[in-house]
Amino acid sequence: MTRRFVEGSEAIVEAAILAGCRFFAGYPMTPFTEVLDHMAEKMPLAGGICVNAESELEAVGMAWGALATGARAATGSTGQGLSLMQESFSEITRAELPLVVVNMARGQSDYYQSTRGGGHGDYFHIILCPIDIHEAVEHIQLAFHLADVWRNPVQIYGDYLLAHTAEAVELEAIAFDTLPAKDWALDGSLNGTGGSRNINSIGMTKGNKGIEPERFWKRLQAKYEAIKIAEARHEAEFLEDANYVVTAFGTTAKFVRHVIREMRNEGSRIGYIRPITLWPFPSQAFCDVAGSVREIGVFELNGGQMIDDVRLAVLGAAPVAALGGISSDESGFGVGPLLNTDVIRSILEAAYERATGEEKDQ
Amino acid sequence: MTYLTKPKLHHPSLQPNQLGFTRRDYEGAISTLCAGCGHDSISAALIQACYQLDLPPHRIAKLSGIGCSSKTPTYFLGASHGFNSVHGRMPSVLTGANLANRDLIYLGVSGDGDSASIGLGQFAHLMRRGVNMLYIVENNGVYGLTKGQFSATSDCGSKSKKGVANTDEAIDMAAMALQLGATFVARSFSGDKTQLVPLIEAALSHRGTAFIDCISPCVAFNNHMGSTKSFDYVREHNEAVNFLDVITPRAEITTEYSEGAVQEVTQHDGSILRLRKLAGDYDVNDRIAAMRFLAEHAAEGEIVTGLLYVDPDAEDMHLHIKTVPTPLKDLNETALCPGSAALHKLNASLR
Ligand SMILES: Cc1ncc(C[n+]2csc(CCOP(=O)(O)OP(=O)(O)O)c2C)c(N)n1
Ligand code: SF4
Ligand SMILES: [Mg+2]
Repeated sequence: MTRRFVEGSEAIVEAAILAGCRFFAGYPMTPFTEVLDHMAEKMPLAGGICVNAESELEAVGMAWGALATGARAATGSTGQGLSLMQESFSEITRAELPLVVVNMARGQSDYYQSTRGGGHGDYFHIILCPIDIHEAVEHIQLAFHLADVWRNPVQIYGDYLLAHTAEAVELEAIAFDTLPAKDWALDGSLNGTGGSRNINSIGMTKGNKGIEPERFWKRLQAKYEAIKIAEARHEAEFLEDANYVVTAFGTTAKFVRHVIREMRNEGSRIGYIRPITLWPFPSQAFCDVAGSVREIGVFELNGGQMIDDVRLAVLGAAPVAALGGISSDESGFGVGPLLNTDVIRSILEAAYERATGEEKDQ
Repeated sequence: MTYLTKPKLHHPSLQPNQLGFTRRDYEGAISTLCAGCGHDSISAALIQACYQLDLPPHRIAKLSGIGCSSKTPTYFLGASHGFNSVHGRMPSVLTGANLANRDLIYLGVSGDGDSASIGLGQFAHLMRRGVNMLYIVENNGVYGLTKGQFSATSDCGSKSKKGVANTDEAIDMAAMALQLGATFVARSFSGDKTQLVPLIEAALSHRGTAFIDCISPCVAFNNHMGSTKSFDYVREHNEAVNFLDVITPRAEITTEYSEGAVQEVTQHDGSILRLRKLAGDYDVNDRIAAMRFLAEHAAEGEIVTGLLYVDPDAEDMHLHIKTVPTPLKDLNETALCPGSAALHKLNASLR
């Protein structure tokens, strides 16, 4: 296999093409813009379509239409742009269309926006949160697969660092299990059933009078329960004998993981958990350690969002402490002074000593 | 970001206007835009116009969306109130502010992306409503702030810096404003201050929606060969219909006019717009003719500039919807909370 040194945005675009995505629509916004730029350049060369939309509203609408015809389609943006898309996200989700959303967030401030659905209605998106470009290449391909498996939108939560730095990665297509035929798509055929189709977000089916909102709603909820069991993913290190566990997500976790490995080498009994799926949240991983640790420290760069999910996971079985905080650069793109291994190290050491009463072995 | 603060000292030779303010009092922070950006020239023209009109800076409200153009209110009228809204939503925010407080002078600054791409819907509805304001679009045909993607005003066939041609038709914002009912419509060029300053003055003294589409080249991403919004291209294709002098009610009329067609328009505040016609018998009060003129000249690849249309009898939104004359913030508690009896009376009047 050959490795190439590529920027995150470009790798994401190539991974989407490898996954069979042939439709993308978006509107520029830092730090997502480069994803759109690379899409505009590469998608047509791959026989696909990329539209420079009038706004995020048009972008998500176009993706919605493309999905309805059975195409593998995606859109993306950052913060405000995704806020604009929420109305359509709700409807696309309720219409059970396999949308993939590339979110290059401005740092970690949008955990809630991603994990709480965001729009109206009672729904969730699967949120994959890569730690680096290598994982993003895998996640993009997985996203298209999971979106089709569950007929539910999947979002990649990346950020400035992911989009704008380069790494040596292998860009290889991943083979997934065969998917069922899209017998729901508006493809102009009757699919041997003699029935035409109607895609909508209220559970209406052709040939049946009226709608059954409650039954439809419950069916969607049952799907979410199944996703929670099947798709929660996490990465963990040093949990066996840990008396302190730190958790972090996304590119920030790379810094945290590095510091934890160092502290381990120096004798601290510190462990690490990283949610790979922000939704469904890997609650079990936290439950499993709650009884044996003194504290779970949550290092996130915001006012405290993922910490809620950690607390909900352990339900008081272990103290949960906020270790990160708000940290930003001048432009607001989320690469602030706390994103620094020396700083993180002093924070983690202080938390470790405070909670365990142990100073690291010298 | 590092800000350079301007020294507070005024040069003694700076001429004060009727309010005792010098041009410096209308300036803002030092611009952080690219050197040579057209937007900075528009800021300078706005400063000049407000100074010449003797406008009290604190009575002006500057609103904008998001973009390099929408950043510019920081760089002029530092003593005026400012409101940066979100991308494409300045029109609704300004409409709301204007409805709640009609006493301020409203200036909306936007870009072609902000108004013709993401904000087109709100732009259109503001024009229809007759919001009393100056709406200025600093039009460079690209999204400057996000590094040069084509916007909705980019001409079909115009080339990007990388050489890719735009394949979508362009939106002509001045033509749209005319169609949608704006009562003052002009187009200008950031590189032509003698044309732009009087247009801004006239627009600010207009009651109703005044719209200026100001071509403003982006030197970083859209000023190359093949672009139809570059300095060179606009200079070559500029077709001015008239030359405008604004005579404020207080000013003495001193300018002498030589032979040639002159059209005078008196606005409701008493200001006289004196137009020296450059293009035949172009009638600035004929909306339909203006629309035809724009369309015909656009088909020939010309960029028509100047005052395209003005309705001297324009009315504004407050008149249309019969709002209370007092700004809402000035209504006192007795007026705002007159008790349940007043509510009963109000409901009874509906029966
Ligand atoms: C909802 C949303 N989408 C995207 C952006 C990113 N963005 C900021 S300004 C801009 C375009 C600006 O273009 P224009 O209005 O023409 O201003 P210019 O920079 O060219 O003066 C974009 C896409 C944003 N701020 N908000
Ligand atoms: S990028 Fe273009 S529009 Fe923005 S400041 Fe620079 S020259 Fe002006
Ligand atoms: Mg622009």
